[in-house]
Amino acid sequence: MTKQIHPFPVREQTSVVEQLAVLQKQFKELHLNTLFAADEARFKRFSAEYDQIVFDFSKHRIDQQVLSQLVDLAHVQDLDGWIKRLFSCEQINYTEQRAAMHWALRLPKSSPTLPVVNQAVQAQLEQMYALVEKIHAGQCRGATGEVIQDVVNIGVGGSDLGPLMVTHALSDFKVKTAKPLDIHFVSTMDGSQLSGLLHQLRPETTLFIISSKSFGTIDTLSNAQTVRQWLEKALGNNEKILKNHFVGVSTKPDKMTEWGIAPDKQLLLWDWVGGRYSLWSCIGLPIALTIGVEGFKQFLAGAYAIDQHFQTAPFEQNIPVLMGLLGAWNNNFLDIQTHAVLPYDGRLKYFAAYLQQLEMESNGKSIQRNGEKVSSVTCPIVWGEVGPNAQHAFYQLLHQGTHSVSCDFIAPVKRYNANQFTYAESAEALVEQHHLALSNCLAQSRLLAFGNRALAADELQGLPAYKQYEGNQPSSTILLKELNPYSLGMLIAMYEHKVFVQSVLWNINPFDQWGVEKGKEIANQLLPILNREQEDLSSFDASTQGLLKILLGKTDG
Amino acid sequence: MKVAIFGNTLYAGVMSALLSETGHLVYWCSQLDTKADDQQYSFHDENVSHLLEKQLTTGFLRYSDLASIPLDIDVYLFSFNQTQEQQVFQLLHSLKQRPIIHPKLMINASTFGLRGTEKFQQILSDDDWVYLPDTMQEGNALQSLTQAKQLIVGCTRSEVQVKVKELLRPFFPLEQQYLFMPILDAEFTKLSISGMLATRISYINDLAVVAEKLGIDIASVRQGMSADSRIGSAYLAPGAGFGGENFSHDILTLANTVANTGVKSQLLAQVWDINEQQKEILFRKLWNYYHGALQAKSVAIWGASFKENTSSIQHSPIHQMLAALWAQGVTVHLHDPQALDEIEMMYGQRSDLVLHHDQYEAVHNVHGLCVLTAWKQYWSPDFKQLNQLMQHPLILDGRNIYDPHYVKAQGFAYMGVGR
Repeated sequence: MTKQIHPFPVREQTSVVEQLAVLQKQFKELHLNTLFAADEARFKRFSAEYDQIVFDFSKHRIDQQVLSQLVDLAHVQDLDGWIKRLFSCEQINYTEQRAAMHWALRLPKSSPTLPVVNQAVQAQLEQMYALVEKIHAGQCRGATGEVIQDVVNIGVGGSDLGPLMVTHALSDFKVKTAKPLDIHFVSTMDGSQLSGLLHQLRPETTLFIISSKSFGTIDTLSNAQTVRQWLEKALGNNEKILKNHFVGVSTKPDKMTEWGIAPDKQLLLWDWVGGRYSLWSCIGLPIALTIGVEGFKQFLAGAYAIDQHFQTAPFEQNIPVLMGLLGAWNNNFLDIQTHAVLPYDGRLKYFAAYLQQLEMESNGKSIQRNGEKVSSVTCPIVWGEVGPNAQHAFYQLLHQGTHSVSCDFIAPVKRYNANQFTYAESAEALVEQHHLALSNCLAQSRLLAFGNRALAADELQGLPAYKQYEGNQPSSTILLKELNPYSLGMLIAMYEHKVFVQSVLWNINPFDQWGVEKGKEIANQLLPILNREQEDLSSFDASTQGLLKILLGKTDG
Repeated sequence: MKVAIFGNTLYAGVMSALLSETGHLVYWCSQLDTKADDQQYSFHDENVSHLLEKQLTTGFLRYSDLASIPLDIDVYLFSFNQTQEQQVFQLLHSLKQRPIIHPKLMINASTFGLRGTEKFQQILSDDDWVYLPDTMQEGNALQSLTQAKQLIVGCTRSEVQVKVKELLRPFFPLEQQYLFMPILDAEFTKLSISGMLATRISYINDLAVVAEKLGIDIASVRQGMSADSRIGSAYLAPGAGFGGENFSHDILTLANTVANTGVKSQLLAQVWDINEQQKEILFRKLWNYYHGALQAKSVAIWGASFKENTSSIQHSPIHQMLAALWAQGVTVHLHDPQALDEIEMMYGQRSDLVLHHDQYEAVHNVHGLCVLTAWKQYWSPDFKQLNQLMQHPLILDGRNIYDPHYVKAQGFAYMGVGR
């Protein structure tokens, strides 16, 4: 953590860190049972509520003193200033000379902020909405004039994980369309998903979204090339295919045109949107196709609400700030190196995978903004799974293993309450299942926090060691009034800003991803060898040489 | 016998005319909520109208409102279309209030799906209920009723059968002309007949798509099939899809009935889907002809009603055509001899829809002409005039009413359905 220069007096950074180090010694050995025993009003003191979200952080190993020291830490790291810089056009992604303005994607149409940017954003959204309406009305047509009934999103990373996660999460909000409409996702470069999908689709009625910020991602372009051949085989090699079966989403109109995307089927985003923050832009087309234009607007509105909250709420009640600070406390001071995300709602199946990119690609770094190596640890390992399923998998390790793990429990308060056609017939029984999931959610966080103390006294007597629970695993519980486009928009934006808060604490740039660039280059050196265009293996290490020989079928054994 | 007939359907009109012609005293109450002198019916059939007028003058037929129907009626007949179910319930409740001596013969001739008659019976439970399926063919109404080989009647009690036979004796004097069966069976039979006819149409349309790809003229195939006495020619014309309120409703009711029994059968759903696809077939041909570049073009459509000789546009292919053309930014010039008012009522004023009362006016400067309904006046147009008026001489024949060779020889690009 570096020294900052402030226009106003704040506490010396060193004194805050020293103070936290003292608290660290004290809290490392302190059990959550003790903390709860000492303070009856812990939930009231350590929870925050905003709009459709309740954030309970009382099961963290903190007290009032720790919290105020952490808030002080945010101040000495100039979080206020950084938030202002984030919500400006400043190029805070300094390694790529770009601003990070994903928040501008969710500005309301009427917002006076950055009129030029906002106008450009709204223009692209309007174009996307028009396409969505046309598809929903059953009036978007393939080359033969038949109605499009399947849409395949081809993209990888941010162009895949975000839309996939949200589309799945909001499946209950699928709008009725004039003709049945299915959305599919294809990402892996080896064609795994395509090979299983294409034979189920009809070329005449399938539309492909080629979603790539740079329009140069090899994974995506190789999949795109395959589907193009598939279409040409069935419908002939002609201009009508390109015109009627492809939509492009990218920052690069010239590259889209070069590939063959028709000008009226090009949706644009901008360099100032990071890939993992791009689901709010036209990259979110599969989301809008699922939940409709109104749903998508709600989704943006939820994120906008968090943007306002993040900028204005005092840090003690600011949910993204608290999430960031608690994460840093667990990570940097309590030495908890992994963080599990456990939604108690099957619709959030891809949420952990999405967060892995958001958090680890953003903060998995070790060089500070001043060019020096960091002195403390940064992003923890983020992992997770739908809670009730994970209970039958890795919860054993959480309860009785040797690792300290912090957890986020996420659950909707109400479910199956909207009379949606997909579940209406069985709503009553499903509500009971939801209650079952909620009771498990609370039970697990209790047991993790309090260990044996969560059990009844008579149960404890004579309990063998292998049946005992140590507890003291800290967790947050995030309750959503219900999981809907608005609240999911809030939830995602909360994590986005949490990541930003931590990047400020660690003084790193969360918006670049240089660590994923080089591998692609080296792959380019290896491809000619596997294609037998090049023979000489001598430049590679012994292991790679050995593996290459097997792949080329050159071994004797 | 004294007969009261309720409802404004073609069937109600035909029964009023025919029964009064044979000496029954018939009171026809077509509108439940208006005065008797505002007699209206919802059909266009000149033969039926003439017969009705004639019967009125003889005095055996009287147009009547509910209040002035006498209490000593022997037979009540109800023939409503499926949107009027609530009105029927109200009617039955008001009949229940009257000091009628029960039981009377109650004939349900409306199609409200399975167990429709049973619902009526629950209101007037002391009466003798029977179900007479309305299988009349529009355009051939009188003959299709009087010349039916056998009459399906949902009625199993012999003392009630006697009453039915007395009512219909002038048309069906012989015992073997009646096919009595339980009411539910008769209701299902009625739906099954519609389902069979729809299946024939979707079958020929499905074949037409294939024929087109193989360079076969479906018209030859159709003639050949019709020549087989096991098949016959009815309901085998390929085209832009069937429509009509009652027919479409029957198919949907039957498809739902099948689906709700848990039986895994998709035939009727597919029959329906094929037909829905077929309704925009002319649009797809147009789309292909212009390679998808339809923006700002204008197109003429001849015919909006779901079939000729009616002004009904219910479930007509015109709706799919308009939606599809408008979505591509096409201006539509529409002509129909009878249905323009219905179209205007439904779609109002809009810049991409121009209604024409002259069929030649509609084709002025258009990029194509779609014939959607086989009105007689479209069969032999002045091709020379058409060619001069149209921007581009393209004819899309949704009912296969033209001779492709002749039309092409007149300098037109021509496409039919399956040829």
